[in-house]
Amino acid sequence: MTKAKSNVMTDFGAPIIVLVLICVIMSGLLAFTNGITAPIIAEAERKANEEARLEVLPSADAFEKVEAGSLPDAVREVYKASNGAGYTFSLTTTGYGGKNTLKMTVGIDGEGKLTGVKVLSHKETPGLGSKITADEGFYGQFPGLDAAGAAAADTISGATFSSNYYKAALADAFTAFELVKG
Amino acid sequence: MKELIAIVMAAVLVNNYVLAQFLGICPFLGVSKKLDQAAGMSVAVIFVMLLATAVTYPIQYFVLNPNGLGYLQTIVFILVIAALVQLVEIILKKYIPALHASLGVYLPLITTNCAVLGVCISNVDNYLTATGGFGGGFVQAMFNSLGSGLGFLLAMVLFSGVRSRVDKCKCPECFKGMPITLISAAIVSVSFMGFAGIVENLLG
Amino acid sequence: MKNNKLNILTNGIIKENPILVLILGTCPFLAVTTQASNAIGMGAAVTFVLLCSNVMISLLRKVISDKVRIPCYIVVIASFVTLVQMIVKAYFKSLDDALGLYLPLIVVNCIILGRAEMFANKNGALDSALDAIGMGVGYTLAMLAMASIREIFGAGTWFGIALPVLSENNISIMTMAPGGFAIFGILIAIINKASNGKAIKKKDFSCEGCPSAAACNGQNCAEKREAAAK
Repeated sequence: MTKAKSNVMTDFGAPIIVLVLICVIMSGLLAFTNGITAPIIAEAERKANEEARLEVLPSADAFEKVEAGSLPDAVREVYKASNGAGYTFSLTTTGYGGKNTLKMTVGIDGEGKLTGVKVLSHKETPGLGSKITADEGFYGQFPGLDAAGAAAADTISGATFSSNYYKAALADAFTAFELVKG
Repeated sequence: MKELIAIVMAAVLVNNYVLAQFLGICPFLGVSKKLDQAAGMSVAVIFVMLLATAVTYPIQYFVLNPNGLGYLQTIVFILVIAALVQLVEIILKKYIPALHASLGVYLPLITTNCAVLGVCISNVDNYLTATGGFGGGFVQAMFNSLGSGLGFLLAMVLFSGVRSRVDKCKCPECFKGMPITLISAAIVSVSFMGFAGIVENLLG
Repeated sequence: MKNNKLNILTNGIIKENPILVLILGTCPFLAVTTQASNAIGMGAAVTFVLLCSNVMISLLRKVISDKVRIPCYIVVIASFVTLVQMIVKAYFKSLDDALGLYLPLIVVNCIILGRAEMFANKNGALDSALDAIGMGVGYTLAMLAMASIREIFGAGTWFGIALPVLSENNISIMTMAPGGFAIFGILIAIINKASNGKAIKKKDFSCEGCPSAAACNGQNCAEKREAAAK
């Protein structure tokens, strides 16, 4: 492939300039859209987390974030209720749908008993593993149980894996509780 | 070490990229007819996956995230992959012509292979926040890519065997070609479902 | 002229349906069709990206030179995909959770790069837009059909509404991987039967929809087609 030197500008220069221009324009468009949507996304997430915390620990009034060192990997955030009602734990853990697909918020009161469990999102098999949120016989067992009780709870027949991932997440929450309760 | 082996096993058997996660279906259905093509394509895919992860993971960690440019991830990743593939092809052609003759044919097709972009994005999603900082997460990501590529290889090679048998059988006219291939893929996929739980139970 | 425009539009829905006839964009087709609502969401996202990229590439077709064609197309398509990602994350959070990895993977969806290569860089903006809408609608309809079958029989619901007999007696494997492959195969078989084999011209790997076709000048596939024919 021989290129005449005199055509370097049109052969290489023009196309490259076009490519760079397109990159710059598209990036500008994206930066603009990001500026609009990023705050909306952040606000929606903050609101959803706040609502989830209140749902699993209804007797709490306000929440303060707790920083703790060696929490289990799955536990991403710990909040403490200002009135001493207990703690909430946000977990992102492994489910049947894969790594980091099971997102839950768990509330544990001062005595180490579950006050509420909310699954924020999951990728379990629809109709089977998704029963962890649909089957009240399963998820209804947990409120009021402590660590030992939760570990001994029944699993959903036919959805053993999903049930066990759910229970493993609760176990991680209990471990974190032991670390932060002070 | 156990963790790394678990990652590879899970990627190959339990969460097989083709049969469980539906990534890389186009080459799976298109190129799996003959064993040597299937093997050649898969080796090229493993190579590109490893290379792509090695480049995109640090980019996300050091360039995109700290500067709040997370939204440029898609563009940057796909351009990196496209550039890498071109680069690999040029280097192969110049320095290892024999390898280029057998593998090079598949390289342009790998750019649009969902499996490569998929593995880059899922590595960044799963391992960026892992314990061990950059190094620990990076090693896990590389092993995940290796496992995903090996899983792709396994699925392709197995399936080419299945297809060569299926092609020799009689089947209803309307099923000839793509439909019977897909039904065979369904059955192979069922067999892989049997691996669920193997990683947890074998490696604790 | 009007007839021609209508042809372009309906081409993508029936005659050259991207997924059931051209067999492009198979990965999200199998992965996302576990629920009908996801199918609509994904179909809408793909149609949007297809429309925007087709129009933009068509408008720029005289400016983009052959050498940098593929990188330019990739930048344009990836940008629109990122745009869609941002919009979906902000306003349709549940769809974002459901689609997960497959939303950014729209960028490697062969349909979009394929139509850019095959149509947008040779035709005007209006024609390209019509083609994009047709292809997008065809894709969405096919996904909806697939997702409905899988959801109704696999989970006993449709768009989340539980159905009387089916929700207690669901065939779970339909919503899992094997079910996806099998239903896809059966759908293509039905179309084969209904059109007496005339619809599916491409039973195997072929150059027409492949985005790398321009890059390899049909060399790669020709070799493979020869090899496959033996």
